[in-house]
Amino acid sequence: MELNNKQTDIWVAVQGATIGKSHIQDNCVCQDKTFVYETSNALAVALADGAGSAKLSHYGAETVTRKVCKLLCERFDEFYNSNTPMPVKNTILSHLLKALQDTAIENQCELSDLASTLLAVVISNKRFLIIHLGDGVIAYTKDDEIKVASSPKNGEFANTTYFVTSSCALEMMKLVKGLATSINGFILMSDGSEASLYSKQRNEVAPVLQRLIKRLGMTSPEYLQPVLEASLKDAIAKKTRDDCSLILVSKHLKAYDELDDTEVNDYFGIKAKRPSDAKKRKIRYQDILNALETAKSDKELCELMGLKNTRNFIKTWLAPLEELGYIVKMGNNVYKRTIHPRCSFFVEEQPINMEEECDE
Amino acid sequence: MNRDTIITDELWTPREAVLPVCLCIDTSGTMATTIGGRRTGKYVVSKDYGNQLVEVVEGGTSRVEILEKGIQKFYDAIFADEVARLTVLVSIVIFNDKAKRVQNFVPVVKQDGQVRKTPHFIPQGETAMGEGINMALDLLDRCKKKYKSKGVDCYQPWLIVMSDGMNNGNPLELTIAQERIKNLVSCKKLAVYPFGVGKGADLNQLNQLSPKQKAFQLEETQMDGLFKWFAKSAVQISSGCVDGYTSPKLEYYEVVNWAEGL
Repeated sequence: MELNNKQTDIWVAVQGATIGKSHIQDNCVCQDKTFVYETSNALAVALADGAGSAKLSHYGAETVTRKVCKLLCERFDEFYNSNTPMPVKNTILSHLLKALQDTAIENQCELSDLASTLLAVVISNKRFLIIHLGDGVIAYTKDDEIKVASSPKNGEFANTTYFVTSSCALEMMKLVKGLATSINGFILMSDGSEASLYSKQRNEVAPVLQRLIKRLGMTSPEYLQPVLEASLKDAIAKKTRDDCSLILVSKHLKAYDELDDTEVNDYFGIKAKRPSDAKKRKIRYQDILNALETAKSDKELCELMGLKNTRNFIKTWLAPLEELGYIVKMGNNVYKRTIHPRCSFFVEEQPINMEEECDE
Repeated sequence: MNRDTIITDELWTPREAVLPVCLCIDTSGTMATTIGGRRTGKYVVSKDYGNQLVEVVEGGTSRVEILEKGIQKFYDAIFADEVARLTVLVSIVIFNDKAKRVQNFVPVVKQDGQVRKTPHFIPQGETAMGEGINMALDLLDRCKKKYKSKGVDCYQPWLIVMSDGMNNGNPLELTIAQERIKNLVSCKKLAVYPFGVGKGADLNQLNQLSPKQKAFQLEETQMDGLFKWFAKSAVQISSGCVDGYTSPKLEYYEVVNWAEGL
């Protein structure tokens, strides 16, 4: 329950890749691959765009995303504490090429048939590392602003970039490290998504991503995963012919008790005319949460709050709490408070009595 | 749909990459030569051909008309592809006594949504090929810089040169043009396609314009197929599925096959 005392922030991620129109037309597979990997003290995400000109690049993209995530988690401290970036880049690249060689043997192909770009972010104990090779964009959100951490590295012409298998890979690989204390989220995108979410001229990322990062922080990966998939398929992929992929990483929101007034307004989208209205709302949410320390039906809860219309009560009060993951619907219109929005790191601290839950 | 899902209106309009294609075309007097038809032995001064004295031929088509039709086929085929019609930008430079830009880089689709029509060329005068190519290279360079400054990517540009004769403009201009092409091609910054049209074309001179592949001897009847090939290749590049440094390589058998097919 003592989340406040935890030194480690909670980071969550959602990922998605959608096949582009031109690949559907040519009966090809999606060459963009994403991967998310978690250990007890690190979260790594990676995205790779397989080269259109390489016949098995989707296998290459899959290999490098998996390999880099595991490597970054396992050797985070060593990499982060390195005095110079070159040995780190060297180690990463040699591990990736070794893994690609194995994939090449398995698929009886050349190394160059597995060419792909690579974008990766790993976060551990309030520190982060960024790896970027080729096109695509890595951005981050800080103080309600979205900023570019690493812009695309293209060749002179369109559709020319650098790959893990390129001879100049080591030279072209970007490595960034820093403190993640005031960062709220990271965004990784392939060049397909880049088409409508990044302005090369202004070196800016579309503000709409800030909204999704916020929502991910306020809700849960389970809630945001279908949102991301639909966004990719129904909007982002419609703007280009290329495959589109996107990874969103967000610092998870605080427990309700820790939120200050502005954060409550922000999370719940409260636009009260007077500050006192927002305060009243905040208190009512708190009352509901307190009441739901033990499971209750919506009707019971509605009466307890002195309200009559259960349907309105659910819409106005319970739905936002449920969406943000502070309460959970357990079936038969019965709700219960969660200790923290679906956080896998703290499962053992969940005060929910499992026996009681099963009895329901 | 979930209210959090991104909708297309919230996205930025992608800046599609452009493929600049410059047609550098010989419009010297000999391009009026009629292919097919029956010579009458009668001569007249033709307004269409710059008030030159020309022999009247019944039937047949002039080289320049065949070329115009070929370019129109190129426009039509690119127009038919909804992506390529916006990606491919065509500029036309003609050369006779001097070089002249007749069309700056524009898409084959006009603002009214209709397909662009090929300009009408009037064959006259000599063959200032060096001046023509240098103007084309300047235009390609300017186009690339212009789009780069707007944050728009360019595909490797194409220079298509067509001549039915040999340079009799300033020889220094031609030497400069050859050097420029050599440098650009070796840095993969340009794809060049030179064609000698008809029997009178100086292929040796054209070969010197193309460090990587030899100039093609082109019969007038092959023009149609050639432009269709260019259009097909441009559509393929526009699809974004080709490595950006790989401009399509035209093989000799492809040219021959068209002749056999016609």
